Amino acid sequence: MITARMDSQAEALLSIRGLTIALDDRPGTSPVVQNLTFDVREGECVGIVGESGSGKSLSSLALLNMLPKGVHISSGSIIAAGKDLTKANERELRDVRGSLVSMVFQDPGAALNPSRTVGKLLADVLHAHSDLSRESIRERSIAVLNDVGFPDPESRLKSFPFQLSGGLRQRVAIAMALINRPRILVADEPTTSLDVSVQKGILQLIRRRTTEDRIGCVFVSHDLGVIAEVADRVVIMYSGQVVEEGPVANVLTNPRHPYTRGLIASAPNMTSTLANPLRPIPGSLPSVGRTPNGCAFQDRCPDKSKGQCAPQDPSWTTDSKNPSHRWLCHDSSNSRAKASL
Amino acid sequence: MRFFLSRVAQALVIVSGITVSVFFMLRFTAGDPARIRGNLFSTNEVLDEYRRQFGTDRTVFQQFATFLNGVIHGSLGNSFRYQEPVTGLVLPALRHTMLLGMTALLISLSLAILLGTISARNPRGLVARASGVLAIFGQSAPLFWIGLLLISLFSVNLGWLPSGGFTSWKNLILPAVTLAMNILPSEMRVLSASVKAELDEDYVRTAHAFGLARWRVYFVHVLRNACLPLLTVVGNDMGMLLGGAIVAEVVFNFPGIGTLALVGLNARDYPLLQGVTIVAACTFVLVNLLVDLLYTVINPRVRLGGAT
Repeated sequence: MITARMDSQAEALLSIRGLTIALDDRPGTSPVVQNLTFDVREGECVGIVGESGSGKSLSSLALLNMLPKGVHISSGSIIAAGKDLTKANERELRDVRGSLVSMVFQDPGAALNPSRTVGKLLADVLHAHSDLSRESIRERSIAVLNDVGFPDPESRLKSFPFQLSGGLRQRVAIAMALINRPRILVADEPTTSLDVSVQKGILQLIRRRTTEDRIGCVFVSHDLGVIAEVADRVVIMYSGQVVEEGPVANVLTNPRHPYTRGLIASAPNMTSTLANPLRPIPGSLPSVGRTPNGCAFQDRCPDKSKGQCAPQDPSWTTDSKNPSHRWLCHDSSNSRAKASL
Repeated sequence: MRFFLSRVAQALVIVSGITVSVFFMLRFTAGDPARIRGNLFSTNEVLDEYRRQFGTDRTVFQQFATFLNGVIHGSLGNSFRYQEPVTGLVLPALRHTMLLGMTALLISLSLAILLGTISARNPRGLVARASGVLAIFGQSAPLFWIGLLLISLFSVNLGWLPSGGFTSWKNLILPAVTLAMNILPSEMRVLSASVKAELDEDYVRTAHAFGLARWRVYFVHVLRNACLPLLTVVGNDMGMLLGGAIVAEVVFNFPGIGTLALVGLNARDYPLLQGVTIVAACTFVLVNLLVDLLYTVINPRVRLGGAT
């Protein structure tokens, strides 16, 4: 496991403050993502974890300010290298996308244009942000393919995505993301559609590029094991809200929020047997716009002590020994955290 | 290659089938070329002389043998009406018709791509609504009527463009627009639907996420993948174009194979009609072969035999 870099002097590359994403047509209902706040520093990888529908993918798209139709950023700011992306116009955003902030998507089979070769896909991204000659585009493409561990790049520039394996496709997608030397890399479940054996290589690649290129990386996943491997810090989301955040090592070994504990207990591992089965979190996410008053997790919380979870919103508690580890729970004494790893 | 050879063989069978059936069908239609060539007062001697000259005095099978012999030697016989080799009449006319057809195709395709893409992007927008009206108009209004409408507007009232003949590129515009209106609706609808489907694909989001220019995303990335169904429609349109060209040529008095076919039909000019039909069939088959080949060029998965 990678130890957290607690370089508090370092200026944050990406700083998200109070980001709130709301539905377009239902202004009265509670937002899909609420008050998301976190920083990403140089060479640091921040993992965002949550189950499907927790708002983690929307948050990652919001970092490029390209939310799908039907939702919009209603408040908050996204400061990337000094620029507030929530206030940028379409032209400025286009300059930022793929250049300052790059994104890697979940399914490289669908995310790469099937009728463009590897060389063309890379050239497209270079072309969108610079006026390079054909020769230097080729050189840069080969160099970046080498960087992402793509074997024999010269001869594969003319390959189409469907001629490559899933792992190689994702390496092409990462090469596209890195080719303009971005400062921030957003990866939305980049290993979910890959074989486990291929996953490892992709995770190591993202980790290495983050450290070596001093990139700030936001890594979205539903898989705590993946996050443990790649991230320095982790943000746990539930129903559009951050419920716990802190250094990966602390959060995973000493989870404080009942939801985080539930996530860890429900993660499959080699020691689960019939005698010691996985323990799924009962119930399901509140449906969009129907978050209960008070704590969003109250209906599923195993530690629910009646009367405490509602109607007041929970407040943040900070770990006295490690001030960067904090969680959002009414039960501020929540110290009987026996991690069930 | 195998695919290509089998398509060529298929094409040969089609063309020879059409040739043979046209030959016999013409011989069995009512009307005597000699009587049409002569006049009401022509004597039997004169008519017999014409029949000898045309070869229609011999049996149908004897005529067919002569015809086949000519085809093998690259000749389609002499026109009854013009007393000239048919190839010399048909080939220049075909060139004109091709020019007209290709111009119409170009106009309709550019409009279909532009309007279809914009409509797909914004299905409730002004452009989408206007294109819908245009499509319904093009589909329901008869070709000759559109032609007459254009003549009355641009030639008679405004005097901008000539109403007929073929002396300069200006003569091409009105008949080409008329023809284009005929094939535009299906092209536009198909393209708009397939662009709409492509826009939901993840790679479009990827292209936007990498800051590619919008027009590039739509007209290079999306269009390339969306134009396969369009190609099928264009293949079908070839028939519409050739058929429509006959009407448009007559309306605009344009010297193409359509006009020639009409003259040949009225004169029962068998060799001329055979020539026109054979040449038109060859063109149709050839263009469709070309469309099939284009498929493999545009879709790398067909060309390289990919799995997914």
